Amino acid sequence: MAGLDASLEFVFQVRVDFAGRLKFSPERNGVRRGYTGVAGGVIEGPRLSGKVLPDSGGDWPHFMPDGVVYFEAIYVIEASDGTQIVINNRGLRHAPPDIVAKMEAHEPVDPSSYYFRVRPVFDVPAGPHDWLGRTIIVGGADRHRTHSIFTYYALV
Amino acid sequence: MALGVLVPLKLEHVFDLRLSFGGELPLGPTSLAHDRVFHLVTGGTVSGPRLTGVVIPNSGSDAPCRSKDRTVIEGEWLIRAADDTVIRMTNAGYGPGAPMSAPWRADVPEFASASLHLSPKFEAPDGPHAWLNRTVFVGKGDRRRTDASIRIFAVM
Repeated sequence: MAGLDASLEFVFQVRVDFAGRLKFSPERNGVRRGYTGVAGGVIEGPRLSGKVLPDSGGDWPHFMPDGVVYFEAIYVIEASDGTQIVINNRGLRHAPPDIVAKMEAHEPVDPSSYYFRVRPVFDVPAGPHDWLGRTIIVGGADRHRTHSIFTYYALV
Repeated sequence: MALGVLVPLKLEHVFDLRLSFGGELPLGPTSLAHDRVFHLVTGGTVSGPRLTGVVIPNSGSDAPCRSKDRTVIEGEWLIRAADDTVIRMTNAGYGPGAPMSAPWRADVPEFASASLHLSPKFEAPDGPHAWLNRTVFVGKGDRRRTDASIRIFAVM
């Protein structure tokens, strides 16, 4: 399997500002569903800069009985050249119970104390940003009460 | 200038797969604006520090679809771990593109040398393999006409 080594290269960060949260009663099998609206945000980094288009989508997480949260967010980002790109940010989060309690109370928590990783896919037109449509990108999140900051890396 | 703390990610090699495939069944260009081909997954092996087992013969498919600038990898099959646990693997990712008029040949030179960049998902029952449900993965792969080698990394 020589030659199948891999590494990650930092590409950009996205700060996503939230517009309110909902959490729904237990559904089938005790899974709860949530919604967090995307109010806007900022993108900066060596490979992409721009903004999160205000009110362009949201996240519909699944809260599993074992404490794992699966994320399924769709919203629009706009590169500084005006290109609009749909991001489908899927991922998951889990943490020890004491950290979960702090996160649910929206107290500050160091991002190294939980596992919050995402693997977005992008719908992007042909042009200078089309590498997003053929690159595996993964991210780590730093979650705050009013926003999250995602740090994205490309698989190289 | 960073928007916030750069959450550091690291890749941890967890296991490798070797897959064997049946013959190509081209579907041809479809209304989804790509050209898909189907291969039966006829078997394989899984080996590495975190998982050992076999790919259950004829348990799934590798059905990539290509367009001019990328090939989208889509596949799904079952793994039987050494302790007999059955685990579903859903493969996703990107490979090089090719003209849609060209014959489908998985062994075109462009597909060699780690040209497949992957973000697979797993579904495992509760128990020793449940960590597969709670982890984001990436992979690199070599694809030849009747077999492939894939190296899987956990995103930590």
